Amino acid sequence: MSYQFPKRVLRTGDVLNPRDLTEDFAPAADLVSGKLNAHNFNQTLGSPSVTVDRRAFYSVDGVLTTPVPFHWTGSTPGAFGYPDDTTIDAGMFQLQNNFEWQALNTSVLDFSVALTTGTAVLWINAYVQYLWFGFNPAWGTWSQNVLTNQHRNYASQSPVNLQFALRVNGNVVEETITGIDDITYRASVPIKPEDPSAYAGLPGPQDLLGRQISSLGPACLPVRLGACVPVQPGDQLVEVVCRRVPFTDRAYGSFFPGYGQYDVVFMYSRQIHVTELKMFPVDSVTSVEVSAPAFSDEAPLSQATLYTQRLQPIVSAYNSIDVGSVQRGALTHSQVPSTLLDSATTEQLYATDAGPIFNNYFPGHNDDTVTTTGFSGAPGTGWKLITDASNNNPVRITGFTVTDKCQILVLANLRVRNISALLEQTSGDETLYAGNFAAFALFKLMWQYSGSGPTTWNGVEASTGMVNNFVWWPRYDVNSSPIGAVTGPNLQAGIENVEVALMAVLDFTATAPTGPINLGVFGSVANDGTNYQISAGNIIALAYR
Amino acid sequence: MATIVPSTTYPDGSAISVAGHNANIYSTTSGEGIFSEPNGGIGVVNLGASFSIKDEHVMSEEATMARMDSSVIATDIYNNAFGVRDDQDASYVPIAGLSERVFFPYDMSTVIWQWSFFVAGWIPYLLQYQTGNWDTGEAQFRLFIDGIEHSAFRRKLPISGDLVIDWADTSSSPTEYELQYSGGTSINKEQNETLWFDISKLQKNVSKGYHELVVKLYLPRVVFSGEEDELTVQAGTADFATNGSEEDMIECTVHQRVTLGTRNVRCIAFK
Repeated sequence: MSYQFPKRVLRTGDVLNPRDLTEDFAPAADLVSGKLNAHNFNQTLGSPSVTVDRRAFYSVDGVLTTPVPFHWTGSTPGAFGYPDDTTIDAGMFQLQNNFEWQALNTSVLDFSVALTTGTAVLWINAYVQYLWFGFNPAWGTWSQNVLTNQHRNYASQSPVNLQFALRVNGNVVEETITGIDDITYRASVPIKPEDPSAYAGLPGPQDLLGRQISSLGPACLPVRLGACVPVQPGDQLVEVVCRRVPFTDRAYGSFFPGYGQYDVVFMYSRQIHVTELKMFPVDSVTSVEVSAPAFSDEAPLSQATLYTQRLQPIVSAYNSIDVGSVQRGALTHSQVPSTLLDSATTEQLYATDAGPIFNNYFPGHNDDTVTTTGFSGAPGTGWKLITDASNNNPVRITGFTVTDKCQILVLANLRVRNISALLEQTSGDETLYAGNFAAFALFKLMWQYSGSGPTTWNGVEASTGMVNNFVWWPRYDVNSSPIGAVTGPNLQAGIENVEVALMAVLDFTATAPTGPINLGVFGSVANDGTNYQISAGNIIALAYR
Repeated sequence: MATIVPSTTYPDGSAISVAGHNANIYSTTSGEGIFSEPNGGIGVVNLGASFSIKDEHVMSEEATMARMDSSVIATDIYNNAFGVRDDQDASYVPIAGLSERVFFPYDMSTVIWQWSFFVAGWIPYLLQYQTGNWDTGEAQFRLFIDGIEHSAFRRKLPISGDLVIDWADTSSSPTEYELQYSGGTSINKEQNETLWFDISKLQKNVSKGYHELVVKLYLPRVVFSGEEDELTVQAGTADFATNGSEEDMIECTVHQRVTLGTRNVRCIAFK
């Protein structure tokens, strides 16, 4: 109801009639009985002192985080080897090698989020780490001065061909499919004849046909997905699904184009975070009624009938407004306080075409050992906060202050320019080199209370992401004949420029943080000789009520 | 607003106070009038002890809002499709499906921009066989919000084309290059390097009005070893047609290609 005004002003000598008297009180009682709207409130409601239900602006019921560690052939920092394909535990999801969308459920984990909403937009963030089994640097043979195959399933030469997507209520959100819907898609190699008609070929433009590029290629990668999905009232089911795209073209024709018996892809750590941004929420408030009964003819006028039965309840209702007095959708942006308890970000650009290099050792899963030595001939053991080469300008949020119980969503990105390691073999008086395909860099989000020491951090295990040296040096790039002028592998040919997108959810809903916290992005390598290079990174944090 | 204090409580045995009754109903004085005080005057002091703002109290999109725009149409972008721009302008070509224009009707305390895209690039590593001289192509995605580039979000693509070139003539001053490894297979690793980017950026205290995120692609011409002209090579016609031959050479220009699959942009804003 909007503004209200009395229909008459009582004057001395006026005859009191029941209708006028009723209309003096009834509209005010009617208004405070669940019809107060934006016009009735001033903007002080937007002050932080107003109590806000933690579900008033959004709900974050849909949260699922599952850390699933890799199983390594080694167990010593600097010598973890590669993920062991003989050890499988119940948390790992094995993808079927077919083109059906598969939810990433296992016998011990229903990897889906179910929630009940009103009309809303679901802001979904999800995270999955995958790995294609078969890493083994000793698998291939040195040929043409390079180790031709370093992965049992030929991942060094063929793509893993995965597509991930979000699925909401059984419908795949096509805007999230990590690929191209035409699975046979092949573009042309951009080496273009200047005059195609100049030779005796077919008529018209001629192209070099490119490769099948409809799905993800790297053998080991963390994948983060996101979407804003409008939903109708009711039960909602949010899942991450994955499928293996059939080969229609495999780079090396001597291999069977299908997937072999031992050709398996597993999913490791995975997370879903769903924020219900409310549009028309389900009723949550019990209505109230304030009564100001009509006066009847010849009813006596007394303190009881005028004040106690009518004015007093109305005044009391306005002086102590109940949640049920307020109309649905009454409050506008100026009448609500900040929706988040805090938010912060840090962005770092180290170099557009370079960046700090790290070679610190991965300490192991569920191990939050931190080192401050990023790159050294004697590498540090532990996670290293991503900084520049001088240990400055970290990808870190400091002094993130939340004094209430809350949930904190952390999203981070790193532009990992390069992951590199050398495999070498002596042949006669030559040293042969290849980029080590099984060189792994791992990344993790961690937090600490502000003021803690530089090595006192708490890791979020489910955020662990790993990527391998999937761009390895080409075969001609060796220190040998006939390319005598090239003195060694050229790092430029093996640049990954891969995006590592991490995600973590910090749960302080039971106990509020005891002080400001810092949030940082850390990295490490699995094996001695591996290093990783970061060109840029950023981290954001949102504290939900 | 103050709490409402009745001007008269209509005591028994007394005549009704006309002024008091009128003030109880409507008054321009703060703290009086059951009609006048709720006319935009209800404030924090009027709230009950158990009052809290509930979800149904909040008008739709008056506390949070979200938008998403996208494209799932596969798109090949070649550097020569842009036209030649010798100024090497860093702010280059917007990508369809990787931009979004949003109107905020009020100031936002926090805005999250997210953009995702699937990409397969053909970005060459160029090696001159005899000299060892090398060069690389380059593709850069650049983020612009309200026309301003945010350089921490520049992204490049991996090298995916191995291009070995030889001198095409045996004279003492050779001038032409020849594509040595031909046939596509050995020069093309794009299949292994298809990637998914999902990037988030947070902005604080964003003013009301229109705001726009645009991801642009910088895809320059391919030149080699500092030469000014676009790289051209001699290639066997067998590379391009089944009835071609390795000996019949045809002049080709070398370009770069970026193929985009699914991409989308999200904007989530919090009051």
